[in-house]
Amino acid sequence: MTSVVSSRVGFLQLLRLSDASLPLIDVVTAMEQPPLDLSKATKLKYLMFLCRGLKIQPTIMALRTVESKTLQRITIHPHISAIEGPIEETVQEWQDLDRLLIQFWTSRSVRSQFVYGRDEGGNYLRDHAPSLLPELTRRGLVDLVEHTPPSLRTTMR
Amino acid sequence: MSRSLPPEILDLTIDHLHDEPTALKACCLVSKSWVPRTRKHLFALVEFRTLQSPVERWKKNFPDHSNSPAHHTHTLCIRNLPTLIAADTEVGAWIRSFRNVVQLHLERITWEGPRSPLVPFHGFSPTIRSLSLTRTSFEVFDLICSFPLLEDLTLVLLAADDADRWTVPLASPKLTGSLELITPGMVPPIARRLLELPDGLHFVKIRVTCLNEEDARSATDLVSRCSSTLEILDIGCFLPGGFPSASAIV
Repeated sequence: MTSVVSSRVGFLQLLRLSDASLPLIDVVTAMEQPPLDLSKATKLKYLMFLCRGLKIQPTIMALRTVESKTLQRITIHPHISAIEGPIEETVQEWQDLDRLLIQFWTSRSVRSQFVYGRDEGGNYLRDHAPSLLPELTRRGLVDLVEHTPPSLRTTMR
Repeated sequence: MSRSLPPEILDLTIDHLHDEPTALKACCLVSKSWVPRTRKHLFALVEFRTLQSPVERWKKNFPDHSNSPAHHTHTLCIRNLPTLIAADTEVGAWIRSFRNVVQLHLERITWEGPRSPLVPFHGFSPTIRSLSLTRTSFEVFDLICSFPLLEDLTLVLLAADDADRWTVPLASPKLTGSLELITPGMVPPIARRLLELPDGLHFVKIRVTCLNEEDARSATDLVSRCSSTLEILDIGCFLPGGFPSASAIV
């Protein structure tokens, strides 16, 4: 299994080197069935993704399967307690997401939402939105929403 | 000429205090005629959660099940059920007195041995539309199927169990509301049972947490089954790589 994965990665890298214009995500999507396939959810209106940290590759793969013509909003909520590891590793993924969300807006008028919380130091992660989703932010196509934890349930004693 | 307030005025006055428990308790002391309407709000939400025999206290205060304020309850929360009802032979009559419950929350209900403490709960309130099960044994699908009007289902951190022991019932609720599946790594067996329900799945909203590819594929199956009704999808997408702790997700 490991060798299959390794050879696949090698194949992807080879493709990337040989044809810089070919989007990497498209190659991945073409080769593998994404684990989360939303193509049959044709009446979707609101789609929300809570992502682990800044790694959003599974989210992108799932978004590429969306075919709903009634979709109104896509919400991205990175679950970040602190900026983990070198951010360069995830830059490509976020650029892909940025492009994909713009495509959703231009082709289907789907609005995007970026939910941010606080890191372990209590600092808001709102300022990361322009660097993670630069084009979307520049064009004012993303709504920034602060994450508020669910309120404690009211109980009667 | 009567000097008492017309009952509809009295009811209206007390209804304005529906979210003021302290004021409602004071109203109970004003007059016996004020008690019935006050109880309607005071007992709308009942929670049994302490380990100091709250069920016994309830039964001591309201020995006549048919006349207890339980019929006012629309939201019932129970935690640590096996501890609460241990050695209680009349739990069936007690729980059936909560016959108008619409929302049921059960938490931390696991057991050893063949007899599930959930059996007396089967169909106890035919009006239940929302069921939430947290940190509960996996053997809850008979309970789910016993509520014909059930719309919303929340399953959080179910304990793993033998998935082959279940006999699929002949009928199941329509499940037309929301599904919340916060069961890290346990989506496949739960989805398999949900997909077996004879009357299908018609959820409008699904919230599911996927910790691995198997979870994601099962989520895909659920989404596909609800494709004609699903409008809102909330995915906790935590694959691949290391996963956060379950508590962080919940």
